[in-house]
Amino acid sequence: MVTTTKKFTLEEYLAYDDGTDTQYELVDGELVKMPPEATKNGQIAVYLLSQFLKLIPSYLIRCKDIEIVVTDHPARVRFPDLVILTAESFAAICDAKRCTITQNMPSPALVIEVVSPGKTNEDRDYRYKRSEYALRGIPEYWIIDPIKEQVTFLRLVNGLYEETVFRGNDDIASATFPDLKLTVSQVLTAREV
Amino acid sequence: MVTTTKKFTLEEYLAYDDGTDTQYELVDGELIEMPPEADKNNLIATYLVSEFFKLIPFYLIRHKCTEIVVTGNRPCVRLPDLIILTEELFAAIRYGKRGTITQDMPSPALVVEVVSPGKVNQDRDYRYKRTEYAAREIPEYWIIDPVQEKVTVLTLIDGIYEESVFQEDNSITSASFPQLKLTALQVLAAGGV
Repeated sequence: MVTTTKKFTLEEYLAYDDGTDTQYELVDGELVKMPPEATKNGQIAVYLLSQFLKLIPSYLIRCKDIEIVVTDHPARVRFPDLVILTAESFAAICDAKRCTITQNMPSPALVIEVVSPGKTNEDRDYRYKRSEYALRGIPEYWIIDPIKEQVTFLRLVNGLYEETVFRGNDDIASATFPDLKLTVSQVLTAREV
Repeated sequence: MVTTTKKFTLEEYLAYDDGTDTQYELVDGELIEMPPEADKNNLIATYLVSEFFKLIPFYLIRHKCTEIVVTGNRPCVRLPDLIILTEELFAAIRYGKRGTITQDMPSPALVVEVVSPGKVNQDRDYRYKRTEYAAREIPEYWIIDPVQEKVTVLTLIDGIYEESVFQEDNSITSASFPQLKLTALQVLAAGGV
């Protein structure tokens, strides 16, 4: 038996609905299924959501319900854990049928990924997405890693991300959200301490 | 007087001809004129061409004549100093009207840039293009820097570039061209003939 993997164009993918609730990313035209994450990772994402709600209006916050087109050819669409929109990117997306940040829309202010275990997942968040989000012009990208117990904070400076790694009781110092008072431990344990 | 800068779409840019011999790059939809470089930089690029002639067929070598589309969220086209094509890419580009590596074509094997002085030029080669060429999945990118007297070789590993820096009589090691025997000094000194 020969199995062929269907290659999607970006347009085909954006019109795709297999009738299930499965979440996919599109990588070089191929559907990559995003399995449900570990409970802890989900908790971290929701905890961050709760902290951002203290600072910014809820309509600028997207938790696992928005996708970002990073390149057209090859067709590549990512599905981040948390996205903070700017007022401009909200204005571009608010009336869209599908919650997709397309290539012609302004960039969001911040994207956050919580890393799942294993080399494939680590490479996706630390390597591939780092290149893709920089190209997409996303000014800040946080990688929350419960296994390495660290938060990697990437800030776009003249086209390339500059990296700062925070651990333990370090405060997460965000240029975009200076009012956010959070330590790495708080984020990784996903509770107020 | 208000001057507005025309924003080009990729299609408009690829059909653009202002009747002059001016070379441009397209950055975020804007034409950026590429003035002739210092002759020192020209010599370095030509010296590298002469070394690659010893190793690979001439038709895979492109010297300041082939551009590459690296669009993220806004139209962006770069004109590298040197591009080494793969046979697959040559097959894709050989009958094109314009020497443009479009997004649907395979990646070249190697891109080389010789850095011009000044922060704008340095940022372009070390930062913006580093992100763009990684996202375009170009397996190797060399940055030849006559001012800082070093050669940076970037090798794409799982979606992001790993960096090696060569100076003085260090041999440049290339994963794509292991048979190339060149020291950093040989390359940099080519500008001082």
